[in-house]
Amino acid sequence: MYQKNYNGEITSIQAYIMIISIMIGSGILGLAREVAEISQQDAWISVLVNGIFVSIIMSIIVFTIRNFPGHNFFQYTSILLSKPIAYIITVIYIIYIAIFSGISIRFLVEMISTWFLPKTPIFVVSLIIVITTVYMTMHGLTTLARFNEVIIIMLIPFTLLVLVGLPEMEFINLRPIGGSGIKSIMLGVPPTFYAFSGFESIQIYYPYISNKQKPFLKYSVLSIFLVTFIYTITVLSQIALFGVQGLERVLYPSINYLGAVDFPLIERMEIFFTIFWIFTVFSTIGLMYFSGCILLQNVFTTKNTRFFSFLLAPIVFFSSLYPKNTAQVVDIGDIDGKIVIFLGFALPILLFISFLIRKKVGKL
Amino acid sequence: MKQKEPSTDSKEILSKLNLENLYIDASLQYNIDHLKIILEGCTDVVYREITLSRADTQLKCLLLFTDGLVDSLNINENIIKPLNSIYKFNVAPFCDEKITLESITDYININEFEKIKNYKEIIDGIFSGDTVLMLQGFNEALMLNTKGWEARSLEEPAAESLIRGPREGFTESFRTNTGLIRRKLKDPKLKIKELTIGSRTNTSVGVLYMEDIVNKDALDEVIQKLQEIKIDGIFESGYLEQFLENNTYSPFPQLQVTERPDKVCGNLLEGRIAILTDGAPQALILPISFFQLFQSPEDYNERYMFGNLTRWLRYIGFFIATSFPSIYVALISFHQEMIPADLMLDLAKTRTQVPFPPVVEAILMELTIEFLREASARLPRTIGQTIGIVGAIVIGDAAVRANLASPAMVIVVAITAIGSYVMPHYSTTYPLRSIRFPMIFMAATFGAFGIIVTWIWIIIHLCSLDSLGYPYLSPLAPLNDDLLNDVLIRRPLWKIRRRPKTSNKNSYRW
Repeated sequence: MYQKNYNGEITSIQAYIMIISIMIGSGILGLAREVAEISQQDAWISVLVNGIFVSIIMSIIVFTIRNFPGHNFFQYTSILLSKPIAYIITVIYIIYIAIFSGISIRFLVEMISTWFLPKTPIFVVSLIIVITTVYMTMHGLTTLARFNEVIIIMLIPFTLLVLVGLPEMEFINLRPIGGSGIKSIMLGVPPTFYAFSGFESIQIYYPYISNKQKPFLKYSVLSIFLVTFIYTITVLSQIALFGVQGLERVLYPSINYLGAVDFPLIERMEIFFTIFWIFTVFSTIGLMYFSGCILLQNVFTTKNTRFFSFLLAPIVFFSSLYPKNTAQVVDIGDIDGKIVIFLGFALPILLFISFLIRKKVGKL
Repeated sequence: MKQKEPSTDSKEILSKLNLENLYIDASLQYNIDHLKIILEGCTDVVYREITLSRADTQLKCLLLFTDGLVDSLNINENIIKPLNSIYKFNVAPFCDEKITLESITDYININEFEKIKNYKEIIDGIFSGDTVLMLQGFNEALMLNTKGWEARSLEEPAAESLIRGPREGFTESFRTNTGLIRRKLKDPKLKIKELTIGSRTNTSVGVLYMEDIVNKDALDEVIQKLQEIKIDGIFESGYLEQFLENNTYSPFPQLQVTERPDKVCGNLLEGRIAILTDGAPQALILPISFFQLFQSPEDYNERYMFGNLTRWLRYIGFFIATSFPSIYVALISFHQEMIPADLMLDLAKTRTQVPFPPVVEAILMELTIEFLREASARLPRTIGQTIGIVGAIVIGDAAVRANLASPAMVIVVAITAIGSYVMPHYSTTYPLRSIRFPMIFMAATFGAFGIIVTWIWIIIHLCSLDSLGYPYLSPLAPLNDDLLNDVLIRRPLWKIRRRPKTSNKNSYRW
């Protein structure tokens, strides 16, 4: 039956792909530098640790929501945390999405200005991205999920480009392994939150998976592992190439990294990389934006999300114009990482505890 | 017997009356009068009255047929001759009073006949090449199959020629076409549902499907949609295509058009539905996916490795045909630093002579190519070749010498044009050609970012499309294992056991 996944539903595999594509986005560019500033040559261990941590959170999320089939985000939070609190959380979530989709767009605009269009006004590029995002989300979840399935192919060349620096790597830069101490490795975990942010949106998307009987828990954890693997390899290879001291001097190691390598046919490999990167960031932005539309639909209980994908556009557009310069964008990105601690870590644990208590009391 | 005269204003009444409610009368003269009014001015309709008389009884009969649609020899030999001989040899049906239509048919040597009761059936019959035999004193008439008109013989389909594969293509005749398919699929599960569409053309349309493989919901939807079509005339399958597709405002075809019976049969075995239209050598296939536009029967006829190689050539051709000119424009106008230095120097040298910016150059050359293509497709073949030569000189040589275009641009345009020709069917080149121009504009305005955004728009658009509810980008999005069966690579035939998802659930080839 090929019409099954037509009315705003997605398959398990699509959800798996969506988790990957929402996580890999703008965070990967500065990841190595931000973590290496704290945990030195062991930055990759910090990333790995966070990956394991996130997959535990992921299991908790899926474990909790699995008990509420047919309930959307707002409905199951209402059951678990009472209706007023659910309203507050949902509104906070919507505001967070509205602002940070704007910031993600702005981050993309900054990169485009740097690498492609230095003279074009920022609002023009931003407008084009917002229009594309609206077009991406107006057809509903099914189309968005399919779009991500196509775009995920771009990850293959994206990941392969990590390996191009292999001949020039010096693995001595990684030694001594674990030499920076357990404390600094653990302190290096919080800066990775920004790169891993996005997984929490599964709380919103999970209710729309149509074939949940498949082992989705396994899929979701696998997707986190895949992302962790890509991140770890990226950080590892960049530390090996630049060394910790060198890393601190480059803003976006993932891009500058490619400038260090010569290619016979294509000059400026980093622009080539940026092309693939733009595709993945577009899918991140689209998924984030659409999760806001779904939340709005949950609250207002309308038939579809089309209206909201138009409604959010001006808000997102203006919040993308708010930061004055790149540094400010990066600063706000750090705030994003902190809010993720609440929405992605505290909220699932809160829901989980509430679920356990209610189950024991027998209120469910 | 009381003779009923048609009234003076019967003409007006008849024109308003539904022919379905007008029944054949027992009086032959009454019927002839009515028919002459209805068919007034239809000079190709022949009324042949025969009177069979014996000593005391007389039997008047009328043969009604359309000249040009019938086989005259057949009528002479197998209808008129036996009727006369009945009289001559004074045989059975006239010896007693109980003459029935059945007894008449025992003497007529026609393979197919039908009893009809109303005027609508008479009119439909004679205009489809049948002969209507009416007898005095009967409320019914006989419709005899005497179809025999001039038809084109089987030819190789010009738009879809293959190096390795059958050389026969569909013709304009509906029955020949169904025969071509039946000859390949000798299976009672192959069903043909016939419909008549078009209030004036009354065109026969056949829906072909394999009963046990086809997806029932899809079939019901197709038939329902076909029955709901309201139009006066259908002359080609393209008319139906426009009624069947879900997204009219999309450059991408959502049904496949083919002239090849082997292609239709292959698709029927994959659970798809084929629609044949009388009078058109093109069959429609649905539902399809985007990737099917890249498939040619030759992929399966040819050996495994080369079937795959040619398919990948087509994928690359698709990318080249849509994006190559815009990539060139973006590189030259925005990202000169991406071109290796030596190549850049050469390009710059040739470009200094050209007065236009790259985008104007690209649009000019692409437009010229489009003109040439359109001209050579519409003109007779012999003149078409002349156009080709003119084009080669204009584009290849004169434009460069006159410094209107740089040599690199000519190469880009040439590769693009060839790239769009690798598509196995002509109508699939339309989307490629129409996407190219907006993409050049976007590349000229926003460089590589413009190309990326255009591609994202195209991908979103493709994701939102469907063909009869079947996702257009399937099996890539939504992902399923058909992707490695027959899309990215075609596996060896003996390994493709499961049918694609267009078919019924869990359908296997053997």
